Amino acid sequence: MNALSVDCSALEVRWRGRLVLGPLQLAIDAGERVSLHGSSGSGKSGLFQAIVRRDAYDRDLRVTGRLSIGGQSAFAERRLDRHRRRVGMVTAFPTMLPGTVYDNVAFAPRMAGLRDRSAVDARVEAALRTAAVWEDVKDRLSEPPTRFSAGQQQRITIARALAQQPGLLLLDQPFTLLDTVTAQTLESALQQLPDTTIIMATPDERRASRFAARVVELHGGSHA
Amino acid sequence: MPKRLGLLLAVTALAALPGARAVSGRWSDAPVFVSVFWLLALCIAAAAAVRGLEPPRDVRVGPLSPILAGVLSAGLVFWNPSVVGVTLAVVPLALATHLRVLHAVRRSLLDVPFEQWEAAWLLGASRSQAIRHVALPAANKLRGRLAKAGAEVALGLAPTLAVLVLT
Repeated sequence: MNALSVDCSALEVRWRGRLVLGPLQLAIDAGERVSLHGSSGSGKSGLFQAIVRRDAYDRDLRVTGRLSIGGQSAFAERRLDRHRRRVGMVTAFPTMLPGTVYDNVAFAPRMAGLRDRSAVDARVEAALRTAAVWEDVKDRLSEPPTRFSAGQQQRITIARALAQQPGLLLLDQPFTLLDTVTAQTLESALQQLPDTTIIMATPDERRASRFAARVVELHGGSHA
Repeated sequence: MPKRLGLLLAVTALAALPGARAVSGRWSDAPVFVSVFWLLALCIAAAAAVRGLEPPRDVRVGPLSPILAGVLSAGLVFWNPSVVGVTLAVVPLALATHLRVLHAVRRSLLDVPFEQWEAAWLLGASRSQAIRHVALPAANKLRGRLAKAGAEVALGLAPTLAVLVLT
């Protein structure tokens, strides 16, 4: 998957009628790393929800304006599963799917139609290594992920998103549950990720500037 | 509608049907109370079916529905013990089976936490993939619910078979 650009103009996100983001004007080049910085309620997650088209299944969420991902309007794609296969997202707290660690990380490749077992295995291992959790889980891939600590589960969630090989990766405060050393290891690994545009939302100013050369400040839903 | 009253009426109607058939030989000659019970059971089945539907999130079909559908089917076979009657009898039974199984599946789907649905969708699963790979493995009560629905449907089928055998 090639890295995807993001271009939005006059983008507004409303939650139960209340404006939580926008009007936002923002252009991100393909392959760029961008940090979204802002306090709680500044609209960081609102932008991510718009990008993944959460409004398609959440009636309380309304998104208006123009939003294109990789040059295509995010609102024009009728098959949202195809749209979401191009966009990976990691939230602050892990939600594990039923099944094993392996099933979780192999989920997206399988949904995308990858049937070759060795190819799936390779993708699972690579993703777990990048997420700095391979050593913890390599002998326990057939166990449910809920048997691991919250921090390990969060890294499995990150691996799950990486195995998707998205062109655009959205990280919504992904290191909340991780210790400083692990978080910095992961930050470095994600910075090196090829063919992926990454947007990371964080309320931590230092982390924001460390992760990306470009930091977008959001204040009360508007872009500063 | 009290379920116990419905059950009582249904059982009485069922008990009366073979006897009436044996005595009279034809529906039109059957004792009046049989017709009344059978029609009452039919009304209860219809009311249960209409009241049980709550689109779009849930379909609630009480466990009595297959039994009441069975009463209706038995009545149809009793009224016309031929290919036509049997064919007509299939309709309420099939409907009750369909709704009961749908009810069991939907209840199990609603048991799945919304966060898991969302996680699957965010990973690019379509609706059908999410049901197959996330909802069904997580719905550990589904097997029990389907077994219960199957037992109820079998119970509903019994009177129709009984009438068929006796006629």
